[in-house]
Parts: sequence; C-alpha cells; structure tokens
Amino acid sequence: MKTNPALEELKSSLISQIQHLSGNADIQPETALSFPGVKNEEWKYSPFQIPKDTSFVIQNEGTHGSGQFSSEEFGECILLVFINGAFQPNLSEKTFPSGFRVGSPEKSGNSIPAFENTLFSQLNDATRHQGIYIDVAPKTVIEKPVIFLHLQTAQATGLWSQPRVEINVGERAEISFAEIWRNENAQPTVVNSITEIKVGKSAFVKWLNFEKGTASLSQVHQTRVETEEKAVFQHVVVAMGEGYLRNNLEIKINGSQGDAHMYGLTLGNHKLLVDHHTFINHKPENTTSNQLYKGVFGGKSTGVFNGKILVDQEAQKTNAYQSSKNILLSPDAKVFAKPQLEIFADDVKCSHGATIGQLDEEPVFYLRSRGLDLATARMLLVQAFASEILMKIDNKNLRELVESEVLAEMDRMIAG
Amino acid sequence: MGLLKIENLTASIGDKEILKGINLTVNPGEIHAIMGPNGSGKSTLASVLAGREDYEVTGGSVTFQDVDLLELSPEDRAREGVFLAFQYPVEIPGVTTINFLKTAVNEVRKYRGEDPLDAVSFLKMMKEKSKLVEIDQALLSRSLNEGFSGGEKKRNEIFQMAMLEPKLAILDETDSGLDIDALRIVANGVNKLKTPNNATIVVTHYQRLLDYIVPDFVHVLWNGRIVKSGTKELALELEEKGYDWVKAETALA
Repeated sequence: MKTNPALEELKSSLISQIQHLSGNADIQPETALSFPGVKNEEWKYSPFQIPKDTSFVIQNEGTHGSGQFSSEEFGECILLVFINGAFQPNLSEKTFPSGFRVGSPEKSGNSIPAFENTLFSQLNDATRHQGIYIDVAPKTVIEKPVIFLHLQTAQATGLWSQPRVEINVGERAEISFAEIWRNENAQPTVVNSITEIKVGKSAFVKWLNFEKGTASLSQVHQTRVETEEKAVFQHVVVAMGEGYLRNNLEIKINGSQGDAHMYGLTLGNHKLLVDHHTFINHKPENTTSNQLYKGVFGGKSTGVFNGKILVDQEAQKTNAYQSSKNILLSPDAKVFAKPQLEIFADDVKCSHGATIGQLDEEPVFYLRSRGLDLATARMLLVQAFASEILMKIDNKNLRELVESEVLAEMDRMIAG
Repeated sequence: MGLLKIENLTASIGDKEILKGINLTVNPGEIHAIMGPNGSGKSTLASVLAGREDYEVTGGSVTFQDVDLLELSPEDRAREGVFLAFQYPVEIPGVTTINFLKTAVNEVRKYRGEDPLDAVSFLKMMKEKSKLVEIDQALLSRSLNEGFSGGEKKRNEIFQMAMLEPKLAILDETDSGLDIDALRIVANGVNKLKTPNNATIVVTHYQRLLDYIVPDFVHVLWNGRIVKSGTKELALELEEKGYDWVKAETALA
C-alpha cells in the first residue's frame, strides 16, 4: 500500500490537471476529501491503491490514440468506444435505432447522487463532459446489446482515466448494456468510472460489466441506479485478472413492485484485490432485491463482498436476499464477506448468507473414480460453480466472449 | 488367474483400524457378495479399493491384473477398469451426467490406447446403455443427481458402469433405499452387463439384492475380517439366522 503523502500529492496533481484541462477554476474537487484508506470503514479491506508511485496524466479529448479492437468480436451490437476515459464518436456506431439518442452528459440533467461523497466522484464529475449520455425513449425495445468498450491505450506515462456514462431508460423500454474494460497500458493506470442508470416505469434493463484487470491497473467503478415502479434491473459483473478493483454498485428502488437482481463472478488470481461493494435501498412497498456473488480465489488474491441493504420504514413487504459463495483454491487467498442489513420496516423478508471454503472433496473423488484426473475434476467443478452466474448473460455472443476468457483464467488458476 | 487379489489388507481411518486383514481373490466371470452387519468394514473395503483418500492403508496388498492397485490414483484405478457404484452418489449442480461422462469415457479409452469417441458414437452408445438400465435420457442432461430420486441415482450409477465397461465393478450397498421395482431394474442392468471377462463385488447388508444378482460366492465380513465364506446358500442362512449366528461361531473358533 502507498503512503498517504504520495496519495495527497497525486490528489493535488489531478486537481491542477483538471483545472488546466477545463480552464474553469469553479470545477474544483473539495479539497477536504482524500483517497480512502484503511481508517475508512467502507474501504478498510480495500484501501485505495495505485499500481506504482508515479505521475498520472488525465488526457484531454484530443490526444487519444485509436486503440486495438475489432467491432466484429462482439457480434451484432451497438458499439460505443471510450479511449482513456473519453467517448469517441468517430470510433463508435453512428446510426442508431429509433428511440435511441446519444448526447453529452452535461445536458442530461440525470445526476444520481452517490450514497457517499468521495474524491473519486468529485474527480470524475469534473470531466463529465468527456462522457456519454443515452436516452432510450419510452416503449423502445432494442434486441441487440449496447456495448461500451472502455480501452486504456499504451502510454509512455501513468494514465488516469475517467469514463462517464449516463443513461435514461424510458417507460416500458427494454434494452441491455455491457461495459467491457480493457487495459493495453503497461504503465501504471487508474480507471475512475461513474455509470448512472435511470430505469423508468415498467422498463426492463440488463447490464453486464466485464472487468479484466492487469498488474499495472487500479479500477474504481461506481454504478448508480434508480428504478421506478415495476421496473426490472439486472446487473451481472464478471471480474478477473490482476491489480486492484473496487466496484460500488448502488441501487435505489424508488417505485413499488420494482425488482433488482445482482450477480457477480470473481476469479481471483495472482495478487488481485477485488471489492464488490453493493448498497441497495428499498424505498416504497413491495419491492425485491436479490444478490448472488460467487468467487473463486487462488494465488495471493483477496476478495471482499460488502452488501448493504437499507429498507426504509415505508418499504413494507420488501424481499431482500443476499448470498456470497466463495471457493479458496490456495492457502494464500483470502475472502472477507460482510452483510449489512438496516431494516426500518417491520413486515419484510430479508436473508443473507456467506460461505467460504475449499472445493468439496467428495465430488472431486466421485469424478476421479470415473477416470477424470484431479485437474480436470477440479476444473469441471469450478466451471459448474461459475456457470450459475454466466448463465445470467442472455446474449450468446457476449456470454461466449466472457466464458472463453473465464475458462482460460480458470485453467491458469487450477494449473497454478 | 485372479483378476483381483487382496492379501492381508489392513486399513484405518484416523487412529481406528477398520480392516484387520482381508484376504480375497476374485476371478473373471465371478460375482462375489460381501455381507455383514453395520460397521463391519464393508463400505471401507469398497472405498479403499476405489482409492478414497480418507482411509490409510496400513498393510497388505491389492493386485489387480498384475498391477499394484494401491499405488494408483483413483483415476488410474478407474482407467485400469475398477468401478465403484457409490452408496451415496453425490449431487453436482451444474455438471450434467453426459458432460462429465464424455470426458470420463474418453480418458479411459486414451489410457487403453484407443481413439476418443466422436459425439455421434458417444450419443449412440449412450442411447443403447440407457435402455439397458431403463434410465430416462432426459435425466442425463440434467445436473448430476440433483433432485433425482433414490432409484434414479442408483440407476445412474449402473448407467455409468455400463458406459465405462469396467473389469471389476464394486456395488456398495446399491440396494439401500430402493423399492422392489427399482431394485429389480438395477439388478437387471448389472446382470446384463455380466460377461465371462468381468467380475462384480456386491456389498450388501441384506440378502434381498442377491435374489436378483445371484452370487457365486458369499463372504461374511465382521469386525474387519472375512470370517466365513460360502456359496449363495450362505446368504439364505444369514437371512434366516441373522448375523449373531456367525458372530457366535467366530467367537468359538
């Protein structure tokens, strides 16, 4: 972990870069905030870490490279490309289905406040204009997924990237999105992203977040969601690779009969540190949230699941379920699971549970007694464990894309 | 020539010695029944033969077709042709029978120097063998044993046995928890798989199963030793007189 003075220095460097970029002294992160460390309760298992003590550069829109990707690899989709934190209209889909409109977040009026005011939010807010705003008109049904490809490209220096995505999905609209994170920069890189999603009345939104870390990468992702009456929101996150990875998923269920489903799969290898921090707020009556986070941890990786559920006093007949299931493949891997239930209504059904253990020996023996070798048996069982989450990705192309990388990572974990 | 030769086998779990010197020879074409009261060591013997690592072999030897079986990993024992039908088949959510069995069959074939089966031949084989044990093919595409009835689980064991074509099948309390119809179906499957070249060890508490799978030899296991061996008539005698009779006889000897 880096010392505080280094992070303080980083903070002032980032602030002066932002002021210079925007030429606007009003856009000024609150200087009282710092990067969170172990003393902050919400960050104690995952104090913010930079890959290496170096200078980090926030790029302005003009200086981005093109990045390496092929639009074919994602199949039929609406591809929207971000490079080093800024939306690139010239590399992205230019014609959109009717009811689907793209603009700048500055005009969105969309802002969803975070549960906790952090320096990360302040910094990202200051470069909000580099992001994208999407408006999905009421009753619009779009079959093909909208894919945000977030590329961090090779640099000569440290890179600080601040993508921003804001979405407003109208009443009865149905659409699915995926954020795919790729890092090509061998230099130290930090991604500080914010994604805001408003899900209108009776709308149906599915979200996939595929996060692949590298040793030189720290990622802090904030996803903030507000849902209206009878809206259904499903979030799937698949996290793997190396480095530091913090996910804040905050969902406010604002309308009655709203459903939120959250699924996570983490493959921890090397020294990966992953913290899935969820915060679900049930506001009115008759709403449901369901969380299932699974993780397989090898090497010296660490996994954290912190699931906070807040049930307001008005939120009678809330159903809130939360489960974290983890397999440790190595003696040096660690998992922390922390449920936090704050329930102010009296007629609710809430449950939470966490399991942390090694792969069960009985199924391993069973498969070996049928002729499968130890590695194949373990692989099959880990795959089966993960499949429950992967099956939640309905889009076949996306599922196969994620699955192939997941299987390759599992192979490496079991061999290691 | 013996297919399986167990000599003076002792094994323990923790500090507790469970097998106290087992001697048994099984030839191709034979069916042996191992009977005995609860806790006599029957299931331990089955587990030790299959290579379950909870047990420590403390002495003796097990030779399977001239190979030292105890030196082999569980998977290599399976590939050599040893099959254990589990007393309590495990449930594995997310793994279908077809899925793992295709890998298993091809691992065994590879070990024997045979080419892997392609998907079409595998499905054809599966179809034939599932008829043999009267198992619904739909079950085989479901998560292994998850939500299966007791009878379905045991039929699935025999189905896997049919697919893997072992030289020695060990049925560990396959009759436990089965009603008479399920018992008959399972026993029929086992009988149909019988050839002059393979052998079966039936581990059971009750004589009931032996009405359907008729043994050539019956052994009584008690307190970690085989205390009495005989032909199928011995099983009937046990049914009639109970195990106390053998215990008393052993104590006198």
